[in-house]
Amino acid sequence: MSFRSAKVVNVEELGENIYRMKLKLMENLNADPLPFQFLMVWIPRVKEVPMSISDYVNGSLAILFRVRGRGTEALSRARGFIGLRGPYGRGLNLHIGERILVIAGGVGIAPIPYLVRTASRTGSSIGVLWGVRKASEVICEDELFQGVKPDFFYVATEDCSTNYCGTAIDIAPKLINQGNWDRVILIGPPEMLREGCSRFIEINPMVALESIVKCGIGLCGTCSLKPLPMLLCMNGPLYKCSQVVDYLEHS
Amino acid sequence: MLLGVNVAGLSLKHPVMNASGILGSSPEHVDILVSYNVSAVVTKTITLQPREGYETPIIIELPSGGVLNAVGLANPGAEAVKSLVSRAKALKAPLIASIGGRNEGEFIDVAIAVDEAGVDAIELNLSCPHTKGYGIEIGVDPHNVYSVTKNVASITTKPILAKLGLSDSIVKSCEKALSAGAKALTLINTVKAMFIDVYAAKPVLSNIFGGLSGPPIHPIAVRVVYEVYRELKPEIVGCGGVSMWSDAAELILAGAKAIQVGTALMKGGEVVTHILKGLEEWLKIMNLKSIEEAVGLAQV
Repeated sequence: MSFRSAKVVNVEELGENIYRMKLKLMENLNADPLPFQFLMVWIPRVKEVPMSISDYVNGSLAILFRVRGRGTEALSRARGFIGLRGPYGRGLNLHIGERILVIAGGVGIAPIPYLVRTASRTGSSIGVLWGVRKASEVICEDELFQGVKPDFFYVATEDCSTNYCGTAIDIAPKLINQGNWDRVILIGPPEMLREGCSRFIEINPMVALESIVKCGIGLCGTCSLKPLPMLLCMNGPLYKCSQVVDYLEHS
Repeated sequence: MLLGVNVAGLSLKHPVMNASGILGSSPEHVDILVSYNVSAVVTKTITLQPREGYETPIIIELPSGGVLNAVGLANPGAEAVKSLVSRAKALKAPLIASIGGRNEGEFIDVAIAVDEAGVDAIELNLSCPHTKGYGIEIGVDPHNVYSVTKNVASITTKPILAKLGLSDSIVKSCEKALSAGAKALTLINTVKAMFIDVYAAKPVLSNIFGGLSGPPIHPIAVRVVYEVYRELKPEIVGCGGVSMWSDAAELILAGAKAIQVGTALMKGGEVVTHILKGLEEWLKIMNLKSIEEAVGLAQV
């Protein structure tokens, strides 16, 4: 999809160093994006960064991000207009009525509100287990999922400030065993994905990967998942663990 | 072998290779390009030292069609070419190293490195429109084209292709490249352009200026190939906005013996297979026995 402009509606700090930016596209996307697809977000004359689509309804878009560099820092302060390219990546086509368990770590939660919104349209059900380090990073359910509800939303904290004490991966086995899941999706930092793929090897879950992306359209090769001959922007960011085990080991 | 061609001393199973700048900077990229079924892999332009390239945005798909890029010749440096060569050899794919430099000396140093690494041919990037000191700043002057090509030809026996871009002196530059020892010409590179976001009221590429590629430049490429073939009858690798078989056929009829596809690979490698299938059917309809019979047929 070609470049388009968007107006910044607002930026809120939802949790410690976690921001949500709401945008109004000056021209709607040609079709609704698929969950887990991403955009390239341009902060004028600063930088362009890849961002998951956190929510999208009829030209109103939300992105959720942690400030961790010059681009995201500028994004958190951006007002007026920014630019967008995408959506890129293959994304996830939901089957009617399917049951998905999401195990998210940290800001890996970003695309999940849009997954839940899409699932509400296809009659699919999404259970979410979210792990964060400490109480200040927690975002409450209503704030995160605006106007839609997952089947359940459990928050695990490593500082034990919520009912679930530990990492999301620690808590996950019970949930995996309890539910009759059609898919289990892991999303979060690489070490979490590596651990999840290894611990839940018998169910071969899906992982949503992150990488540096520059062109987003398969031309520059920056997002190549070395040593695998795959480009995240062309066939990612979702893979079965078994497809990307070599990449996770090297990353 | 309807589709087989010989160009710049390389015997290729078909005429479609990737354009330089599309992947081509790591062994994994070579894997991907070979899976796209290109007949030769052209590397990203290699400079002596690695280059990071520009800050993002480096590429924009334009609302009017076409793609604008200013990657800034990001590449892993001459030392890395060995790993590209060994992967290409393992996959039995010819490898053409695109090389760049700011002066004759740099071109020579990179050429020596890629020659020793065992590449099958060398494409001189004399036409990148967006990296200061490289490319078109050299290629726009026919004397520089002669000097760089002559110097590189003096240190290698590998076939040399000179990749030139749009300029008023294009025919003269082509003539100079050929007289200096280039076996073939790659025509054309991207065309210098820019894009402004009307709401942010700023240029979007970090480098401000970039190279336009894709369908908007195809008629320009056809014109340049036609004119250069008419004047000089050289071997030409046509490049510029090829996204379907008929675009490739046009360039062949204008005078190209082989084709490079760049921007159209953004939809994946299937486009290569579509182009080949289309060309094969077209040759049959035209009652032509080979691609080579079609080269330059449109010349009047």
